Amino acid sequence: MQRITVHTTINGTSYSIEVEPRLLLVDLIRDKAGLKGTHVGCDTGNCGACTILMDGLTVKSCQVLAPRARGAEIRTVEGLARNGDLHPIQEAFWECDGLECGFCTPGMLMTTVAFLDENPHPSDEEIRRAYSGNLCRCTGYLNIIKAVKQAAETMG
Amino acid sequence: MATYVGKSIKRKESFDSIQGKNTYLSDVHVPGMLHACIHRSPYAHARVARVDLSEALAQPGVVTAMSGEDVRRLSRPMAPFPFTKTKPYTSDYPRVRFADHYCLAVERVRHVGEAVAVVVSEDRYAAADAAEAVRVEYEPLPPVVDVEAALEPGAVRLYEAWPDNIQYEFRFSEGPVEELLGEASVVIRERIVQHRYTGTPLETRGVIASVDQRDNLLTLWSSTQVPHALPNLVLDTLGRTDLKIRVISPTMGGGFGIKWAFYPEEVLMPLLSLRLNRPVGWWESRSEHMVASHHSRAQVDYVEAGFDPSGRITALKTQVIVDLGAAYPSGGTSLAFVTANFIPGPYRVDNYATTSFGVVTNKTAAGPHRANGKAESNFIMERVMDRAALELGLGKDEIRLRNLIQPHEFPYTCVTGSTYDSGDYPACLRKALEHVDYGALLADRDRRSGEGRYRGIGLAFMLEPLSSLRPNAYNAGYETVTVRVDPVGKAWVFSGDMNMSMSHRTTLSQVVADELGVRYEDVQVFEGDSALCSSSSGSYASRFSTVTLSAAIKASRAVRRKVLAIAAHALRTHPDALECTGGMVLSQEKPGVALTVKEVANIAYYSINQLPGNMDPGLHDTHYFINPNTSFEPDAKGRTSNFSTFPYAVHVAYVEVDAATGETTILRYLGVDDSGNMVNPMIVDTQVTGAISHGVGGAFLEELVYDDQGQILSGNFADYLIPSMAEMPDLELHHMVTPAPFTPGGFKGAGEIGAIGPPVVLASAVEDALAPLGVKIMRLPLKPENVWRAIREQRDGTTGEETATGEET
Repeated sequence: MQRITVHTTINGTSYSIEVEPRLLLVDLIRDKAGLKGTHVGCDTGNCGACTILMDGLTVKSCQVLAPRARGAEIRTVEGLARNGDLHPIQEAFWECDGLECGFCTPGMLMTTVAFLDENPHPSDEEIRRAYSGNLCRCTGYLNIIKAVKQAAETMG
Repeated sequence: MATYVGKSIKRKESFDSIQGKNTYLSDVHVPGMLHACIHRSPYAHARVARVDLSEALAQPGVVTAMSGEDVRRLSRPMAPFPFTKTKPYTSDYPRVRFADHYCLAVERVRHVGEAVAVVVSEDRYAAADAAEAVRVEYEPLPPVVDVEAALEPGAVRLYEAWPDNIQYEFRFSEGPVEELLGEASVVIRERIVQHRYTGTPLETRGVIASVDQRDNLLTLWSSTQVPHALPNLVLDTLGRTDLKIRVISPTMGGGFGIKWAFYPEEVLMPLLSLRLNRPVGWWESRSEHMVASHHSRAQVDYVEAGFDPSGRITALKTQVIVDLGAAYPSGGTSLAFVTANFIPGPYRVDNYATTSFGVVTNKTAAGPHRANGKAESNFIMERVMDRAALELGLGKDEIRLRNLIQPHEFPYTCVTGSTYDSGDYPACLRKALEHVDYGALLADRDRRSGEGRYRGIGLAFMLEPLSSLRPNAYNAGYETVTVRVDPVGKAWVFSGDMNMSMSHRTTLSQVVADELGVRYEDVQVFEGDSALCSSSSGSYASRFSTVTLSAAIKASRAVRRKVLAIAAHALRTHPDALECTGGMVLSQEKPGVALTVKEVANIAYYSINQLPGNMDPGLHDTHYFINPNTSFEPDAKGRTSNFSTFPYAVHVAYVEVDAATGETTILRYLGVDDSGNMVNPMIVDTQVTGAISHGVGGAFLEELVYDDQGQILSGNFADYLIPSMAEMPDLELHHMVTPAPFTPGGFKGAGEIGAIGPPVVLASAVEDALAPLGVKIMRLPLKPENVWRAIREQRDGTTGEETATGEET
C-alpha cells in the first residue's frame, strides 16, 4: 500500500511519520508516537475517550485519518502537566474524584481544556450539554461536573 | 484508632489516570507481538459447512490462520466456569448442564458474533483485512430467539445432546403456597419482562499470550476480573500439563461483571502463540464487544402474590425464565439462581414457591452485570408491592412498612435459606421519606398533575445480597491477602482481588495503614497478577470490602503482633505496653521510648539474634479470609446460604412523563443506603453515583435489541446508548450505617446497590404518573417508545404496534 509522510507536532515535539493513508490519527498517536494516554473506547466517535486537541479544537482522533494531522499542532493528555506540575484541570479531577477507572479521563480532560478556553465560567447546564460526547461508565458524571467548575474557578 | 479508615482521602489511583500513564491491556507492549483478528458469525444459528482460509493466508503479512477444526484438534472444549467440574453436585443441588464449546465454533454457530476463524498478521490493520478474506459457507438453521418459545415442546434445540433448551433449573417450595393464594383477600398476578442490557465498560476486552519455551511458561495478559481462575481454565482447555501459566490483568478500564467469565480468546491467543512461538495479541472493537462479551438481565417472570386485608404478604409464587443466550462458560446460570432466591427480598415472606429456568437461545451468552440477578429480583418484588398497594388502597410507604423485616429479627434467615446479617429496614425507609419530605412531595405531585400533565413518585426498597460463593467453583468463598513489612519499614500488600475501577489501592492502603500503624503513603498495593497470590476468586459481587479487606485486616494484625513482640523484646517490655502508629512503635508507659517500624524490620531481617526465642525472621503474613455467614451444605430443607452481607437502600424518584411522546424527565432522585461501615465515604459516593448511572441507562436507554432472526440491532455505541452527562439526574444521597456483624471491619460492600435502584424506582414513578390513564408498567426499558405504546394500549385498546407501522397516527 502507498505510504505518505505526516509531519506533525504533538505536545511541542515534531514528528515525521510514514503511514498508510488509512491510518487513524489515534493509532498514529498511540502506536507511532507511543503516547498511550489517548484511548479507544467505541470506534464510532460516540464515547470521546480518544478526544485530543488539534490546533486548539477538540477532535475525536478515532474519526480522523492520520494524514489530516499534517502541519497540525496536536495536544494530548501527556501534554497537560508541565515539569511535573499537574494542570489545574488534572488537579480538579483528582480533588473532586471525577474519575474511577481512568479510561475516559484523558478525553474528558482534553474536552475540558477546550471547553473552559471557550467558556471560562460555565453553568451546570452548559457543562452537561458540552460533555454529551464524552462518556464515562464509572462515575455517573456528577463529580466531573464539580471538577469542571472547580477547574474553572482555579483558572479564573 | 482509625487514622485513615472512614476518611475521604483522595484516590492513589487517580494520579496516573489524570496523566494518561495507566497501562491498560491495549497499552501493554510485548516485543515482537503479532496481531490476531477474528472472523465472527453473521448468523444467529447455522451449520458451518466449510471454512476456507486460503485467501486469508495469501494476504500480505499474514502468518497463520485457524478454524474450528484446527482448535478441535489442538485443544478441548472450554472448561466450565465458574464451576470447576461439570458434575459437581449432589442430587439435592440444582441441575445444570454444560455444552461443548471450543474457542472457535465447530460445526455450528449459535449466536451472531460467535468466533469462527482467526487470522494472525504482523500488522493490526492487515489482520483485519485478512479476516475479511476468510470464506465460510453457512447453512442457516431456524434461530431460537424468544425465550418462552424456546421452552415449548418441539422447539428447535441449540444443543442436540440436550433433551430441551433448559441449561439450568432451580426449584424451591416452602409452605402451603397454593392454599394461601386461594385464601388471600388480594392476589397480584403479573407477567414481567426485563430486557437485555449489559455493563459495557469503556475499555473493551483484550488478550495477549506469550510463551517462554525455556521455562515452559505461558504468560497471559487479559482484561479479566478473574486472573487467578484463568490458569486452571486455560490449561484444562489446552489439555496441557507441561506448561506453567501466569496471568496478568493490567489496569482495567471498567469491568462491571462483564470481565468475570472465561472467554474463547483466552484460549485462542495461547493456542496461536504456542503454534508460532511468538507473542500474539487481540483486542476487541466495540462492535465485537457488543456481540462477543456477555449480556445480562433478560428474563420473563410470572408472579403471584397473596395479601391479607391488612396488607401483609401471605404467599408468593414465582416462575423465572432467564434468557441465557448460548451456553458459553460465562457464569450466566447464577442469574436464574440469584433472582429466584431473592425475590422475597427485604420482606417477611414465609411461604414461597419458585421455579427458575436458565434457557439457552441463539444470542450472545448472558453473565453477570453489576447487581447480578438482584436488579431483577428487586424489580419483580417492588412491582408487586406497588400493585398491591393500589389494590389495598395503601400508600407505597405503608405497604412496605407493614412487610419489612424488623430490626430485632436479625440475623434473619430468609425463606430460601440465606441469613440477612443486619440492618434497620424501616428506619431506612423512614429516613428516605423524611429527607424527601414525602408528604409535601405527594401534595406537589397532586397540585402539578392534571390537565395533560403527568407527575409521579416512585418509591422502592432494595436488598442486595453480596459476596457470594459456590461449592466446587472458582468463587470458592474466601480471599487471600499477603501483608509484608520490608526491611526499610514499608508495607507491601499483595491482594488476589482485581481492581476494576473501585479504588482498591486506596482503600487497602487506608485499612492496612491503620491496622499496622504505618503511614498511608508507606503502603504499596499489588493486584491482578496470578504470580502474587496462591489463589483468589477475583472481583465480583462487591466482595472486596467484605472478604478482601477482612483478609488484609487479619494479615496486618498478625504482622503488627510480630512487630510489637520484636519491639517489646528489644525494649525489654511487654507488647501490651506498646502502641504502633505512623510507623513508630511507642511505649505507652515511658514517653519518649520508641523504635521505628524500620528499626524493628531491621531486627526481623538482619539481627535475628535479637528476636524473641523461637521466632522466625521476617515480617509477613498471608491470610485466607473465609466468607462468613454462609454454608455450602444444604440444610434439612435443601437450602444453601451463599451470601455474606446484605446491604440495602431506599430510592425515591419524582418524575414527569410527557404523555404525547412517552418521554420521562427525572425531577428529583434521592437515595438512602446502608452498606455498613465505609472505608472512604467519597469513594462510596462515587461508586453509588456511578451505579445509579448504570441503572438510569438500564431504565431508559440501554437495550440489546434482537430481531426475530436473531440479528442484533444495537451493535455499537451509536445504537446502544449509555447515559451521557446530559441524561444523568442530580442526586440526593444519604447513608445510614449498620456495621456488618460478621466482618472484622464492619463493611458490607457498596459497589452495586445503586445499579438496582433506577429501573425499579423509575418504573414505580412512571406508573404513578400515568395512573390517571390506568397504565401499568410491567416491562423494561422505559424508553419513550415503550411508554408511549403502553399509554396507547391502555387508552385505545390498540397494541400500539399498528400505530407504529403507520396505520394510524
